[in-house]
Amino acid sequence: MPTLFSIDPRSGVPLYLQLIEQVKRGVALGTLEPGEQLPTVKALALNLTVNPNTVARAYRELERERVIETSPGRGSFVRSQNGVAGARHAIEDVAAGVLAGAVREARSLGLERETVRAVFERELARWFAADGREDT
Amino acid sequence: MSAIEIHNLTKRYGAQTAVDDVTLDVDAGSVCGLLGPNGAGKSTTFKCLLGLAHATSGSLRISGAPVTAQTFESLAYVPEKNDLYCWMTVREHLALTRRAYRNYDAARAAELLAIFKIDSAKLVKRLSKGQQSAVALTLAFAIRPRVLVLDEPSSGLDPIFQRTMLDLVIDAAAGGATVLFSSHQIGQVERAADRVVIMKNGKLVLDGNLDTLKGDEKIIEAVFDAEAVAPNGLASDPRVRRIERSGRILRAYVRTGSSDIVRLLEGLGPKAVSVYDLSLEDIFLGAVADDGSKQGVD
Amino acid sequence: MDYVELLRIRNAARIYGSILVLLVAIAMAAALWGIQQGHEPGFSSDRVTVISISSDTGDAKTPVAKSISDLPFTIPIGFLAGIAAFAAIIFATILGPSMNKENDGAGFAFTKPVSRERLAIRYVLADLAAIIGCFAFSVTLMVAGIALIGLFGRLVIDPHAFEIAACGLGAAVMWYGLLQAFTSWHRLPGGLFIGLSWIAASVVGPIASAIDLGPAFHAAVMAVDHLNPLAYYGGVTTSGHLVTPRSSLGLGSLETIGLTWSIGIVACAVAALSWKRVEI
Repeated sequence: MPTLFSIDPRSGVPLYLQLIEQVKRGVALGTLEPGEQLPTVKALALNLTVNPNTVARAYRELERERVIETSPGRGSFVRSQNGVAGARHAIEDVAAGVLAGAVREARSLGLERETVRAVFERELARWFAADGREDT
Repeated sequence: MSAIEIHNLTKRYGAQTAVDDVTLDVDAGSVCGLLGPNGAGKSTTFKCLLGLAHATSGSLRISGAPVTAQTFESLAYVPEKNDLYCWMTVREHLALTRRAYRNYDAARAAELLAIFKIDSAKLVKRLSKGQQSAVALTLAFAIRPRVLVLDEPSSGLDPIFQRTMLDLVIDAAAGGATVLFSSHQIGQVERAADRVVIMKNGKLVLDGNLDTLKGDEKIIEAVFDAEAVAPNGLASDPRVRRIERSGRILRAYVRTGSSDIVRLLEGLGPKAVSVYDLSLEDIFLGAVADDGSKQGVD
Repeated sequence: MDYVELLRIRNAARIYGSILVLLVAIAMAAALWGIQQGHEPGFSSDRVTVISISSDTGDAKTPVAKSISDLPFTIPIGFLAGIAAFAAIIFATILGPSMNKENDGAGFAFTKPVSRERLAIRYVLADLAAIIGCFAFSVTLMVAGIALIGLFGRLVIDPHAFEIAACGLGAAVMWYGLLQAFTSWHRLPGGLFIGLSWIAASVVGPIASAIDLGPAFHAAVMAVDHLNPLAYYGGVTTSGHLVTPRSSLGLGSLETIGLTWSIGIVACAVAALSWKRVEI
């Protein structure tokens, strides 16, 4: 059975954080729909071949961030109350993390603030002008 | 209550100290991976825990009580060197296990033998080393143990069954069992364990939650315009494992508090500061390379 | 967990039992041939010698009986018991180092839900039962063989038959216990000690008689000989109608029985206690 999420145990990024990001990404992209049931901790741990406590920790964190909700006896589900707003929140979460990392990295490479902005504008033009979309 | 409590365990063989004041508590439901070079004392620790060797000093408890015959009703041990009776058949080993344990699950045993493709009528000495390991694992998991102690469970096991073995461990852990296993395969520990312990020369050199370790252990690299300089006292900072200098590059291997150290280094006005994550293998190599003292800058 | 020892006994018994059957068959065939040749039915020392040599483990000849060519034509059960006792003694030495066998490897038996004390008791009980069973089997086998060649009517139960059995089995139990005591606390191969014990047991007696280094030496050898099971039971003596157990220590049967069984049981207890402390 193919793995449900892409995680890399060898990465220096803790597995539970990777899993959290993967779930948020799924919600943002719509591959995880509102109200959809997530696999049980045990099932997902076996599917990914990772420690169940790691999965449980990720689920707990996702619940705390109100991305998923868990009903005892029924399972864990993607939150449906927030609907579109919830998805947008997840998307922005993911994007913010990516952009923050890029800015931090650029700064650590010694780039000046204006240089970073110039590069950013150039990339904006490149990626958004191509398909004419203004928003996701 | 911890499922496994090893407190101040010391084991000496004559003049040689195999285990030196090791304390390790494994919570119920946790999977603890024990890493270490050969001769680090991992197997000896297990043997002392299980009563196969007598501790020179220290206390050992499983599920809150000293280890007795009763403890083994729900504890499975798979040693590194296979301990099956080579003159008996696989089937006879199953019968033996059925008679010895109350919780023996014959269906599960049959299921596992099928997965491992083992003919139960065969004599153990006619099986390959990998098949013998598979039989040992089958017997261990077939008794539905609450505690599992595995010494290099993948050594000798056929590569195609390495994942199967991990699945068994994960399945047991998901059911609430406690697993303590040693391995040279760091990738396995990275997947299955939530707790990592590293031993070297009989001592514990690192002990922590795997996710937390990965979050804390970092390499901070600072590139300077001129010859790299380390701030005074950085080398002896307890949060810093060691420091390397090479021309204009300064690298600090940090245990924890990376953001503080970053700020410290930025205060020196470097050209750039980067933070790198460490895989468990990196962390392991760093931990066993340490000679205990901080390698100062020159 | 004594299942392992039961299996060991079964495997050993199969081989050993087959050998015994073969030996008895050969003996009976020879007897039948002798009868057909017109010889008076009875016991010739030659035939007895054939049996005694081949029942040994290739070791020096163990004297089973003095020549009994003048035995009247009855077959005392005690005589059969005397032979069966040696079969049991040999089997006892085969089973002897059963605790030692668990010390090799990673201690499969020691990480099971049965304490080492209980395991030791079970092993010893199983082994002792097997030794006694071997004795009974040997007697039965010989009786069956004798019946097959038509001499069943000649069997008589002589007054010392049970005495012989008790002495012979005592020697077996004593030897078994000593082997356990000498092997349970280490992982050197038990077979080595079986061989050494046979050499020692066979050698002490002849040395004592052959070498004459004065009364002190002789006394020392006699003292050491008290640990030699074959000194307590060296076979049977037949004189006229009577078959009695023979001991080179000059002890009476009661003492022999008492000492051998006691030493054997105590040695097993010592073995079990030191087995408890074994480290893998």
